[in-house]
Amino acid sequence: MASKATTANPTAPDWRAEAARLQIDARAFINGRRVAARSGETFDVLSPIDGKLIARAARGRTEDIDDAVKAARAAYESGVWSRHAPAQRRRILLKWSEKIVAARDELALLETLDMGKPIRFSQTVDVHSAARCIAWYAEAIDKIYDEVAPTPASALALIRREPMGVIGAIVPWNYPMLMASWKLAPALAAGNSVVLKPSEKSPLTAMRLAELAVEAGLPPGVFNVVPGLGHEAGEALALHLDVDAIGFTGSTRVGRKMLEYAGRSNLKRVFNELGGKSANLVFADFAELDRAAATAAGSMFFNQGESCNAPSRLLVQESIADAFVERVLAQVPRYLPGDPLDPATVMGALVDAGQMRTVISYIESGKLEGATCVAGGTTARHDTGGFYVNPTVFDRVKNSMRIAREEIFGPVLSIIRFKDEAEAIRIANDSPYGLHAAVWSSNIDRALRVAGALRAGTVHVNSYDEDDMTVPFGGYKQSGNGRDKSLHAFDKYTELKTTWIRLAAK
Amino acid sequence: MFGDVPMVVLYNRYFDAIRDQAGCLPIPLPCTGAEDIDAYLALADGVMLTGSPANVHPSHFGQDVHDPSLPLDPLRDAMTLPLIRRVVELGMPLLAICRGLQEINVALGGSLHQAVQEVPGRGDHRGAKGKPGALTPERYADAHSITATAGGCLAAIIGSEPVTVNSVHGQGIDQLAPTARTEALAPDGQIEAISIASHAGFSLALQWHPEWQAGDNLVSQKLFFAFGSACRDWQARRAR
Repeated sequence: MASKATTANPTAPDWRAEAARLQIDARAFINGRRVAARSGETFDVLSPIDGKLIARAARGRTEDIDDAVKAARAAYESGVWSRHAPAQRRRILLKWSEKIVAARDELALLETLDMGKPIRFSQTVDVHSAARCIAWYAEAIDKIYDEVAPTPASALALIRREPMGVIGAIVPWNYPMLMASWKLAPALAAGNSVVLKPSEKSPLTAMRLAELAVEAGLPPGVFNVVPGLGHEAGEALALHLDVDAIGFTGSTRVGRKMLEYAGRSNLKRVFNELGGKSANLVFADFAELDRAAATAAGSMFFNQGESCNAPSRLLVQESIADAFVERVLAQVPRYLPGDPLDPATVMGALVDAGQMRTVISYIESGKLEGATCVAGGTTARHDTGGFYVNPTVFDRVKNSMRIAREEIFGPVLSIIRFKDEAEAIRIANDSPYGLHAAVWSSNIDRALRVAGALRAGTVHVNSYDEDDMTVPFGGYKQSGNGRDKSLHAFDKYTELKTTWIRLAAK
Repeated sequence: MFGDVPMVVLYNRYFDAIRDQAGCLPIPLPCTGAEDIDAYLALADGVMLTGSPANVHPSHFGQDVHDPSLPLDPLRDAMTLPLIRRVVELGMPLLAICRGLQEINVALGGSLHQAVQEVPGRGDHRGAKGKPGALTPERYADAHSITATAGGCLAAIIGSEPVTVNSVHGQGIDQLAPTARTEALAPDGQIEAISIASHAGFSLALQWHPEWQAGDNLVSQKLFFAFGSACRDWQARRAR
């Protein structure tokens, strides 16, 4: 998902004390100000660190979504942002990015309290990647040129990109700010208005992002946030007749619904970034097996395994399998879960009790289906009241088992052994998903041949998770459509306008 | 959860009492996650919170675990605490037994003694004198009396004369939640029943186990019948 952390801040605050001091405002942000849900209703926001109630968020429903869409549409039609010069949009977005960095401690703490990831990564990965993403699109927007078609001399044809209108963004809880930024930044940079529905499991940072945007000069109404439940606020947004496109990141199950909602309403464009069961292929000819093993474990257990592109199927060539599994197991103790507010912790809490239940059920299913559990397989840190699962490794997994076919979204690695290249490719592609994949080989011909054969949106060679903002992110097959990141993200949030002009002959 | 085995266990006595004494249809509610609460509530006309061998996690009232050997159930905590707040918001009939009473007090901001038997002046409320083992008649034998608060909603159902109840709990209410009312006390001062002032309808939580001898105990019968009546009222209002 994102690059790994660098170093922890040496002057780190006392996070427990900061958390106790934190005043959390979990109301919606519509038309430039904080508002409660029209019904006055709220939903509980529990911290997975200790299970405690940390906020009661506005429970947005149809009427609140409607308010937000109206504000977004009015802002769009006024031209206050949509017809603002690209260079001016760039300046405001860059200022926003700077404000996010300046609010780093508060945002990181909110993210960690809300969804349980280690504070060091909230700071170094989530806050910084979100800010960098916004800056990247800001920098791009006044450097992109449109097209003039190769017409006969009797005509001039302009092919221009126009903002689409009102974009609905529905984002998940695993990287709340970063996933929101991947949608918001290109959508806003292109001149659209946005209504963001954060996950009910992690709604808190989204509203702060919106406040910072307005402080940076984004006109009120251009960017609105309505927290709420998926089947209430999310469904209302996806069914709304005045929303032009939906950028969704989440489960394949809900992604299907997004397409249904579009079909049942106004055929709004739907761009889905969905699940994955990414295959990580390690060949015997790779020279640095220690690095491959460290990455196989590190990318799997990063973010508690709650990453859509986690390399959750590790395919290892039989001739090196025993030795390689041993190397992977040697990495496991580094990822034992700890207190997310401790800057030394590298694996934190799963997002909530339901996710822990799901992960435990998959672990049980792996055991019952005959895979060998060689590490973990248990819950941890019971004294905290939070939701922790030990890093878990299954060896001798068959690709037909549920733990190889279904996305677990937890720290569970399934190791599958293969004989040769053809079998490796066959197993890797035998999946309903096609998000990421990796191939580790010192033979460049093989590496490129396999990379070409893998049906996945991104293939890493001799690495994992090192990709940056410059490249697209998205999937083949049931992993979705459309791409986040890179200039290709603009394809989702702009319409192509052809203007054909007849030129009179002299 | 039983250790790391994900399972839901429901003792027949709970749903027998709902069916035979309250006259309602029991629907088990597994702890699938707080996001499902409204969907479950839409199927039901009332909520009963059962007892459990597992304690409410002390993190919810700001304490460390006093005795790590006792079972906990974070999956249930994560479901029932938001569930209670939602049921109170809706005013839906709510009956709670043992752990359920403790959950209500914690969900609404109160705290628990983790070991009532260690509180000076309090008796041992664990049944069978605290000897290990569960679900035996000895453990659920008559243990002490309780007296319902005169004028309270428990007294309206069972009267305010002392009645004898069983007692099978280690945790018990310490600080009463701000919106809860004491409905009964044990002779040693332990709170044995509460209701919720901010709840618009029927809410009653009992520290003892009326389901144990529901069919043979007049107090239990009255309690379940009252809960059933509240559920039927809710159903009738919902149908309109």
